[in-house]
Amino acid sequence: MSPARRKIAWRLPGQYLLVVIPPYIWLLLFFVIPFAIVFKISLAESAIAQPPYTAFYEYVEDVLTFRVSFANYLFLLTDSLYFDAYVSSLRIAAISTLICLVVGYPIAYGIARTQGPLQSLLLMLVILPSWTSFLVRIYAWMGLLRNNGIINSVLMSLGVVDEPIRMMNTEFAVYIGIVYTYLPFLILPLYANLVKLDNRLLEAATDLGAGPVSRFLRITLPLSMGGVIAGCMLVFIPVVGEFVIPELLGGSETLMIGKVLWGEFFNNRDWPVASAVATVMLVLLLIPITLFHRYQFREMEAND
Amino acid sequence: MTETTAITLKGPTSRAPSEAAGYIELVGVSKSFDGILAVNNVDLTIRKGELFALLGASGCGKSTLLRMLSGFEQPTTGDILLEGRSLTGLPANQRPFNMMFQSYALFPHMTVAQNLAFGLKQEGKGKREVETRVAEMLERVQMTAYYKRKPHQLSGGQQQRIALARCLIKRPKLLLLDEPMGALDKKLRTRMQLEVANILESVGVTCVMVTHDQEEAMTMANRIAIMDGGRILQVGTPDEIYEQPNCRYTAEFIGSVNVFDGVIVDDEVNYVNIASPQARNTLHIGHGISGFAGQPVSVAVRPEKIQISLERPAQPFNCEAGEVDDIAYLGSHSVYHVKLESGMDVSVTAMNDERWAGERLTWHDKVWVYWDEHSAVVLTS
Ligand SMILES: Nc1ncnc2c1ncn2[C@@H]1O[C@H](COP(=O)(O)OP(=O)(O)OP(=O)(O)O)[C@@H](O)[C@H]1O
Ligand SMILES: [Mg+2]
Repeated sequence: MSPARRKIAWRLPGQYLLVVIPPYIWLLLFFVIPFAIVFKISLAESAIAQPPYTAFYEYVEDVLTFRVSFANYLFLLTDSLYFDAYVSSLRIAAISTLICLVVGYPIAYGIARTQGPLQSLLLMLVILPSWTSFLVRIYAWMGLLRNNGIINSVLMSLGVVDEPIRMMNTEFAVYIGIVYTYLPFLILPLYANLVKLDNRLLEAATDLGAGPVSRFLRITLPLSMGGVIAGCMLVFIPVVGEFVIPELLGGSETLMIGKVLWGEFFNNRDWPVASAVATVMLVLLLIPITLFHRYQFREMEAND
Repeated sequence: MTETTAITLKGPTSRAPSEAAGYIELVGVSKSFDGILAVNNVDLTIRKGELFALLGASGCGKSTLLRMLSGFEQPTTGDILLEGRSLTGLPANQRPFNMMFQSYALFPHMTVAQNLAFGLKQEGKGKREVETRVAEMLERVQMTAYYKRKPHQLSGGQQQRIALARCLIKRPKLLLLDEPMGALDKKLRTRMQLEVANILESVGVTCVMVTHDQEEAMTMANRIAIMDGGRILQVGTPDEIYEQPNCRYTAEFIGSVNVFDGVIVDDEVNYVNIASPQARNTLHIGHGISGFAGQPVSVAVRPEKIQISLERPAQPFNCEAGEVDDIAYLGSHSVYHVKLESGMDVSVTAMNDERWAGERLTWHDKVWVYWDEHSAVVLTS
């Protein structure tokens, strides 16, 4: 190795670290440490104390004692409520993601194919609702969906129905709220992907004899898979832990793990069980997140 | 190009183009974008099995013409015929034509084999047939070992062969190449020109290619059309285009040329004399042309057709005195830039076949340049 090379090799890590370290500090501060605390609490036992759980370690008479209990995790298994809540959350998240995809793909495709100022306008319209408070928008939906809400009033005054359709406090309302709230998170990454689609590939496919359906299924759709997956993850992951929408629109009928967690934490004041619920949820979500990253990595390699 | 400006050569080199049965015919094809004519009233006949090149400067409408053949654009007026049948209204995915894009447009998410199979699957061909034809085509372009690769894992030349194979596998009635060498570097370009021309010849496909590189057109094509401003100026074999350009644009576009502007003074059956303010002596052409005395014309002489010498030649015409102004030494030959007494610059190519460099002409030598009566071409436009 020449002296010059050695100098560069010696200096590079420093500059490299400068770029790489900030994200890791961020992750450490806002993910690893909070998660470690939650995990620690999940290994404790509930106690009437401040904070309301047993200490992780005790130092009495020169003896350091760690108190680790997996009882909370076992407890999650004994009560079917938790299992049902997980399944129900995953199901609701999966179905809403699918609805978002079915509704959002054509919108993203349409915007990506639009030219000029109209395109920016359409993008604005997608983003605009998120400029008002999320809670205000959910309350607005309550006003629409209530038994004496706007939709039912209109339907009844038109004579379409005799008595109000019950929409509030049903899963239907939860889906409405979730799809409405999370649609932009699917549209935007998908749009960003579709807008890059090389029109010449579609022309080449046409030239080789492909009609519109074949072009979509064999060129556009597979090439937009990165955007589809990114968008779906951005919807699926937060929806699994969603609390506000099922609480406000779904009432007691909708069982979701976010609501269970809230109940354990604030109503039962059982912090250890609540922490165990959160930890398990995270582990469950780690599976799709890992799959997504593997896919992204492969994509990045392929596009190199 | 209108009738009156066409020149009929009556010399020994003239050869009437044999009008073989038209395979693909363009009849009065025009295309306008927002009222601007990109292709202007083009009549063209493509013969079966030939490699036809559309050559012209950037923006002259070559690509637009090609896209009308492929069906991506519809002519504003005029018609395109395949074996006598009009193709108007037939969409691109139903035309038996295939186009190789300048960027190749290989599908990045498919392997080489899947790229080749794509077109056949669209035709609804069976799995067996698709497989054998893909294997056959990979063999032909010598890419069998790469069938599992994705396009981004191939070199530029390999991508080009796959793009070509993806078209040829459909056995198109017409292959369209848009700037086929445009994405390659200079060295690879020369090699691929021959390689692609060989593949096309072995398949025997009729082909129209677009290029702005005259060398590429000359190397690969059987016939060339020179385009300018949406019009076709001349159609001919590479040597016809080079030796007998029918207008100034063509003469200057292909190779380099010395052009004298003048008027016809004697218009006889077997010779023409032209007087030009740029030349002291008469410009004499040893055959008749369809012109008239007093008609303004140009006389074009290629640099390699001009002799250069220190002594005055015997002939009274086509000879001018001058001084060597500049010399470009190119190894096997040199280009001498001679300033004539009239002030005109003439370039002359001479082989460097003397044994001693000392015998060669040098700067500021008083020289004579001259050419024989069949070396120049008269251009009326
Ligand atoms: N889709 C279009 N809309 C408007 N004008 C166009 C379009 N396509 C081509 N043109 C115009 O038509 C003219 C011819 O374009 P064309 O692409 O055929 O040129 P070209 O000969 O292929 O040039 P190049 O060698 O640069 O590719 C140009 O002036 C161009 O601006
Ligand atoms: Mg072009």
